[in-house]
Amino acid sequence: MHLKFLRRIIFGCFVLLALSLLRLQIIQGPYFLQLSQNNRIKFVNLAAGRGIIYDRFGKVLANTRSCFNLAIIPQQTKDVQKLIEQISPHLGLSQDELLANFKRNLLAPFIPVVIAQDLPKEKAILLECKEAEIPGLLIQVVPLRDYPYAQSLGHILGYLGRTREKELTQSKDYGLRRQDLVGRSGMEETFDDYLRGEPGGMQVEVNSRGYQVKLLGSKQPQSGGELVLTIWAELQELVDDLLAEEIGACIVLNPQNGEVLSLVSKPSFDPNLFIAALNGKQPESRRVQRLLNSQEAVLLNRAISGMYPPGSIFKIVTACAALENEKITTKTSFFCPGSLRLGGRDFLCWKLDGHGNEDIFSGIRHSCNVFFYNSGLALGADKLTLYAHKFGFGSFTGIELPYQAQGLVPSKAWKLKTYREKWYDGETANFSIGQGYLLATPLQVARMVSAVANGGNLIQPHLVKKIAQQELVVSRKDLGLKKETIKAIKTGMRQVIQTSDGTGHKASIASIEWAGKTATAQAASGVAHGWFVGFYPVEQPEVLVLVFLEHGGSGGEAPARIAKSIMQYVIEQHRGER
Amino acid sequence: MIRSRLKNFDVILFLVTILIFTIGLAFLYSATYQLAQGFLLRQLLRFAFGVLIGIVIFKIDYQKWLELAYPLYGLNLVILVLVLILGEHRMGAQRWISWGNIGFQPAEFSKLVIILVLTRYLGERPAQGRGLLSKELLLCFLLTGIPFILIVQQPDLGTALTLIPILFAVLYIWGASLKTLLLILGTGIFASPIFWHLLKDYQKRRILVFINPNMDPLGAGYTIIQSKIAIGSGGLLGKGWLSGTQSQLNFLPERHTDFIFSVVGEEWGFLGALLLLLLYGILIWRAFAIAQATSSLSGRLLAAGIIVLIAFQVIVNIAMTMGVMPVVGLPLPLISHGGSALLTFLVALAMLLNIGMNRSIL
Repeated sequence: MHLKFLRRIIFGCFVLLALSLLRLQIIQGPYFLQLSQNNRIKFVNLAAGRGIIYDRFGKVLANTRSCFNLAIIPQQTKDVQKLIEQISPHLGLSQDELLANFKRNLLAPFIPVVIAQDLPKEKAILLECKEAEIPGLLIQVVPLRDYPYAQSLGHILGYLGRTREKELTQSKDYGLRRQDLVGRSGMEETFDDYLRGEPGGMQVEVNSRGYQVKLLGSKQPQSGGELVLTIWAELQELVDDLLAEEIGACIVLNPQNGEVLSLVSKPSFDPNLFIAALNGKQPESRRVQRLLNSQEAVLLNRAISGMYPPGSIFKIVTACAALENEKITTKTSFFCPGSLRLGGRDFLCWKLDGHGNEDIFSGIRHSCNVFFYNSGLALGADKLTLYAHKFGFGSFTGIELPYQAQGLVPSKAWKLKTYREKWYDGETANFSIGQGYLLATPLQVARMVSAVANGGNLIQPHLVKKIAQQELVVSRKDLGLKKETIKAIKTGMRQVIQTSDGTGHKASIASIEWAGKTATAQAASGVAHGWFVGFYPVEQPEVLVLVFLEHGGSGGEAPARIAKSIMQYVIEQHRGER
Repeated sequence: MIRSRLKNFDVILFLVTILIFTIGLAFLYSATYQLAQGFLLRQLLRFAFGVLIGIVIFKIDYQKWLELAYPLYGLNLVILVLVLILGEHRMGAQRWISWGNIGFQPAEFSKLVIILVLTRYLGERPAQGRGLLSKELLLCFLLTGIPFILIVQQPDLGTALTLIPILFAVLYIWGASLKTLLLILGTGIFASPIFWHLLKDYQKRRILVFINPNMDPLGAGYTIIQSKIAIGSGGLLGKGWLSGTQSQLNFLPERHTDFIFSVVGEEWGFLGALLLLLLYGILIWRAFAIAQATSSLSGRLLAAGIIVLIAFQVIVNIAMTMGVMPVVGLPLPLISHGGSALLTFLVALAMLLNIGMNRSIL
């Protein structure tokens, strides 16, 4: 009797055990299976190196090199404080700093925490030898972006930054991950996908201490694609040096095919700073913060994103339109008394005592406002608008850089729409000398001048010479201009430099002849903007140089001198090549 | 005579014992082959030694052991006191007595000795409508209480706890009324907060962690969590012998001793774990058959004590690996690595077989 009761109790317990087993293994089985998988399988990311960017001669502009990081694996470290004490003397970093880095970067016990980045190779090797004796210490080799030309190519290459939360959700399907670096501005941004490559990874079976037991599978990272730019790195450096502390932009391009040899915007920045800041280096982080908040808009690429009145350089468009529409001929001349009275207001020439009789050649040579007021008024605003558009103003140049400005080409309709006001003749006058509402980026100006220089073809300025081993062919658009028109303007432009009374005579180079145009464009406030643009050879030009100095004063002075130095260098190198 | 005696030999009990031990060996191998060699050999040697002792025990009529119960009990108390004075510390407790290379845990044998002494004492005094607090009841509590306190002092909570169901089961089979026993049990539970203060810190922590394993996932709770993951991830059919990731990759601590059932659950799955449970069930079923076939009171009491000794450890051990009971550190009978426990179980089973053999004599 009592025995049976005892048996019932015991077998009752057995049934309960069986039911518990059923719950744990069958009902909750999949859940625990997942937990056991998580226990044993870890995914180790293998970063892909970004694609290398070369200049036209094969010089490396953006590199990916191996960098050594020092990491701590928390779950293998008994005493982080002690480990840091041990390694701190080898690193030359204070214990507090290392500990702060550790606390900031700690994610999970099995994920290595990087506490010092980009160690010198000798130190990395020394510490790697200690990995065995100091458990939890790890030297990681990761690809690191490196920009050998530093700040001289900052605006072209751009810089890298961490993925933003919004981008993560937007591009989840493209495999962008939290740790990934993405291009911010410049080529790094435009060709981000192409350059980034495909990160790899290893699926590793680990034991309870996190040590690798077995490699379950791996995918090698795929380096990003290579890019060959039209940039000429040495020239770029020279231009960067020449502009030094100026604020402005300079573009050197081939006016025949639109290949940009150099594109500089000042002030510039060193993209390596951003890499160092990402790697947690404090002084660099502070400098990056200063860059981002600077009054001078350091990160603005003035060559493509700055919008300025083109001033007298626009007279080329006015001249072209007037000649094409037969409002003037090469024989036409206007008398310049120093100003033109229009609607009760005096529109001044820059030379207040007047140029006297001016034809198209001397008009360009002297940059006589009155000649172009008259030409513009003869044309009318609509034609000026049409020709401005024809020469690419008011539309993107097509260069492979983000954040381009479109510029502004005014028209009668535009004014009505914007200001609810009719167009005045005075505005036509201003328009014809490149002032007033008209705004353009330096690259748009260079593009317009190229069209004249190459005999009437609108080029597409570009920076990519080769992508994915493919040479790029960039077309240009024939504007259908008359040969005589081009010839007349070019003659005028040659005189700008080559004759002693030309506004750009300071750009003349002893042994050669070249053509150009200056502009001293009134700014909304402060000193005028100085422009100079020139090309060589006059007949079949191969090089065009544009210098723009923000509030830089007369275009015939500093801009002309800088352009001269650049042109001299290009010609010398060209001869040397031969 | 010999023939009839052979007929009484419980072959099923014997074979099931061998089978459970063999399965145990397989999992002991799985749990330890990566750690070090020798676990298997040591366990086999112990088993061989245990079987030899078992044969001796089996040959001797259990009544002889009952006659020796009082001196054995006295000797056991002396040894338990000696453990507290001379004992070796292992894993934070003082449970071991060493003799050369061989160490043993006297507390393991105490369980059997207490069953013997209770059987001896009660077997001579049939229960017939005794009151709530009879002399026998008090004396039995005293007989169990002294070694209980000595064992708690070591501390070996698991072994000490085993004594309680043994005492209650033996008293119940002897004839104490269920009401009386439940009343005593209730009082004991009511008074348990007093015992809480007697517990060592690590024991308190274990009980707290049982209530919430995530309280201390890397400390005391770690074992429970990893053990649940191991068993749960085994699913219906398991990951295969030697292929349990939890055990083979060392996520599961104590897997060759108290947590060996987790290895079985992980590698053989629900069906394998159920098979093992079934084998233990058959073992206990046969033990009950022997107890029922015995006409002598002392035979029945002794059998009941041994049944509870084995059943309680099976139930508590498996329950704790599944996280449904606190981790109290009880080995899984016949499977967990450890000599003293294995020897105790083999001796107990031999005694049980002997009780079965002697049923036709009386």
